[in-house]
Amino acid sequence: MSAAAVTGTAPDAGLPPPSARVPAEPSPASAPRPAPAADPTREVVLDVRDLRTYFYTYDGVVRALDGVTFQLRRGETTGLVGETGCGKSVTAFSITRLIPDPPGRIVHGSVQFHGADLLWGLEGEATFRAIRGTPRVKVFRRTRRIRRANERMEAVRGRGIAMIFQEPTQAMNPVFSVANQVGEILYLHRGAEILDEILSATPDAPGVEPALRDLLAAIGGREHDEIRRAADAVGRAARSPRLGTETYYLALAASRPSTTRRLLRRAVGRLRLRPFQRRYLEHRRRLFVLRERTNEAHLTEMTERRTMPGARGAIRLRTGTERLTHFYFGLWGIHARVQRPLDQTLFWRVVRMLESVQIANPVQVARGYPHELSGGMIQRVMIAMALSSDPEVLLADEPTTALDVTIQAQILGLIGDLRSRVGTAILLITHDLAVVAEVADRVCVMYGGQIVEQALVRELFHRPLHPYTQGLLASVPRMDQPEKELHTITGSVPNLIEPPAGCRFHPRCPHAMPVCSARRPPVTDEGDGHTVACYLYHGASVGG
Amino acid sequence: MAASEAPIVISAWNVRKFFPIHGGLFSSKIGDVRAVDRVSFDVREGETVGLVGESGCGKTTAGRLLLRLIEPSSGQAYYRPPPEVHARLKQLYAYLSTLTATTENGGQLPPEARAAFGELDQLANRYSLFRMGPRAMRELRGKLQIVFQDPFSSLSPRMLVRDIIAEPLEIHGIGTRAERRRRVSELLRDVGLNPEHEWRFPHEFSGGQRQRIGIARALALRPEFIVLDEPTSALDVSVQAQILNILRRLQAEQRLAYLFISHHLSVVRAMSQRVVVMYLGRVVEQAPTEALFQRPLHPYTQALLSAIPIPDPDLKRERIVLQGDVPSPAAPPLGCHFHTRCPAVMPVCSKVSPPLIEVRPGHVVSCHLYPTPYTAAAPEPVTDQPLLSSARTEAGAPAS
Repeated sequence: MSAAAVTGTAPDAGLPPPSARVPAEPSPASAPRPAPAADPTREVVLDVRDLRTYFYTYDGVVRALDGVTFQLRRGETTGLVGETGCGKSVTAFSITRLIPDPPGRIVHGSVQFHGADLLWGLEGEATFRAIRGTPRVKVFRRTRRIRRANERMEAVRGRGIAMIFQEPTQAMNPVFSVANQVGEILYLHRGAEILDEILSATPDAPGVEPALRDLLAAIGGREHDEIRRAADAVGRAARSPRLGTETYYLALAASRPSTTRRLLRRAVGRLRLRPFQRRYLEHRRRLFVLRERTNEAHLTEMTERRTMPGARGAIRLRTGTERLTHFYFGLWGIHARVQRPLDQTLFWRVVRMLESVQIANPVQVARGYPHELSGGMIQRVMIAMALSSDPEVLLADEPTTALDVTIQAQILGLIGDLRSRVGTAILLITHDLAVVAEVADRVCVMYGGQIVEQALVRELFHRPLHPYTQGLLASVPRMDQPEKELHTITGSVPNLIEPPAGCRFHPRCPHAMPVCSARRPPVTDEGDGHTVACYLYHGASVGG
Repeated sequence: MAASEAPIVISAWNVRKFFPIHGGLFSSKIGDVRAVDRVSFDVREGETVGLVGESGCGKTTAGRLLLRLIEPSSGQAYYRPPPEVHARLKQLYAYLSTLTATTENGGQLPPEARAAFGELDQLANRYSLFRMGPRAMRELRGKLQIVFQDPFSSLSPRMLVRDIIAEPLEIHGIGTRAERRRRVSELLRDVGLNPEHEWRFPHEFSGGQRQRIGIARALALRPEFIVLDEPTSALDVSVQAQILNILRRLQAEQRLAYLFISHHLSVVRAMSQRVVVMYLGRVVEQAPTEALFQRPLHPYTQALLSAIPIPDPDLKRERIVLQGDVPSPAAPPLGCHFHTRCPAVMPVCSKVSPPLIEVRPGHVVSCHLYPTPYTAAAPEPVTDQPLLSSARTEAGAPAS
């Protein structure tokens, strides 16, 4: 049964989905177009083409994304701006394939991450058969295929593409401590490295004892930088960075020298592994080798767009070994004891991470629970989690909307640091044009599920072409021109179940022409990679 | 300045609200959250006063205190004090603030001080909102209205728009049924909605339209003073501009006084004539809008202004990034509340909390960086006469 045939019947029924990834009606904006000429030297990390995400609700099909095309380049920040309900967040969720299905579905388009097709393998995930005598269809979902596709995404989520969610307070689990939740992410992305650290620690090395003595001397000096250096030296001597962090905080809390000495000795002693603990950690280390292998296989599958027999085998081997490990060590009733070195190391790693996002008292925060933290602090914890894997792409969905301006300045600084340090490509989703002007290199303006204008930030703010962009910029109260009457865009955001025909902005547009309501305007290039979808402009069409 | 000649609608003096914290054995009181601590400002007819600060600094509480939606712990808010009363109040409060500084260890108050307290008491009984009985207050509530922050939770989902807007009229028993109906459609037109919209429920409207309904409800009783509690923070910029324009137009038509509470400084700048900056329950700076934005004096205001992103990619400014978070209002730092994050901190800041001093006419700041002009001011002679002549008031006004 052809997919296109199904689309004819299903939407009228107002029922769950027609086929997945139906080829949508051709439109000028949908065709792939050359990369904007911003800085072609930078490598394209994420390439989104003609993405269409629909939500099948009882009221009808919501065309939340209708042909979204853009690229993210290495080390570049792209701002995605638009009003509430224009599809900004849906774009981010579609890229990471976190759209709840049902009711949502990515019906068309491609998302390429370093050449790996993230939407590959979902074709034909469901088939439809009409129920005779009724307008309804029966859906057959291919669950195994969907499960495989989701397994493949694990190779990309977090380490390749990380995400900061809009509502920090809702993104964390209230019943686990901060250290627990952040540690889980950390183990997932950096587990191999952490296990190596535990296994190769040398608490009995000859350098440890003198380093401890130096640290005790530094505590007497009460100079924080000095203590930090001495503590790190202890960590280096024992070849365990975690010990450095732990001894630093022990030293800060120091009371009597004799007590401190005892506590420090005990911290060093905790690095010594019993043979069964070592065996357990080595098992878990081996699991990471298997995980690495499955991830590689999955990326290859998505890049070459074919299933590979090895990938399935790798997963089986991994899950089998995982089960065996947990069974064996669980059997002896020693799980808590074998797990302890790992948990402790994760805790101190988390403390280090919280330090890096400028949280003032990281030990208390790590021990605490999300409800004990302020919005700004949780958002910083979330950022620490997203940054823990040094992702290549960061999708920041309104990271500062709920925060005060002074905290916003801190958070934007942190995200900027990541970009310069790791070269992360950032998609900054926001409705605040001022934030975009401050931190973005390039801007995409979205309206009604489509990108209506795309340009370098300076170009967009100085020469906004699309009437919507012009209206948006004029309606921002400016600090430098306070007394002006504010411009308003009449009307409100269109209903995406029955969007206006042609250009979706035409009912609110001051320059609307008859052609605007007839056909969707083509995307044209107005020079320097400044593209706009509007009939007012007649530049070279990049619709191909 | 025309605005300063206009009569004062609300004059708040030393308003305080401490919320008790219960805990420990038998949930006894173990402390206070000092949500609002000695906040003073005036709002004049046809004027907008902006109240800005970070979340948790007490700006919403301050707005609600003025309407007695929350009962204050101490302080007074005078409703329409005549100019001579206001001048006298200024004098008395100035005198009493010097008094607390000089007689800290004396124990006994001088007789003039007792007379001053007595006079303040009398003035408060006559003019203060906080001393009004329930009946007088209910009558006055029509003059004092509020527009809430979240248009999604401030309208009852079970009432028609016409009932929502007509409810205040019904409560105050204004007009006949037909008159009320006419007033509702008039109000809807005033805020830019269709009169047909009165037959709909709130869920059928977008955020901007709901906020207009909230404004129409606040306007129903022809108020004189409206507290706008972050009226646009839940809205998109294009819709925000619509709402701000409506508010401005209504103010010009009806000479409304606004208290505009917001954390969005560019909106405050666009809307208000005077700005009050709060930090952890205290006023740190108060000035005419232009003076504040051109030459902010308090380090916190400076940091706040520099942190605002400007929608112009060419303007890259030196930005003061404050470290750390706002301290908890349950355990505010000693001395100046801002000293833990202040880039210009001095040893005195952690010990003595700086007084509010008038550095330039109308520009008040609370910071040790600015020398205090009050040191030489002698206590004013106080008579038992409730009001002094304007000549004596002039003499008693603190040198600025």
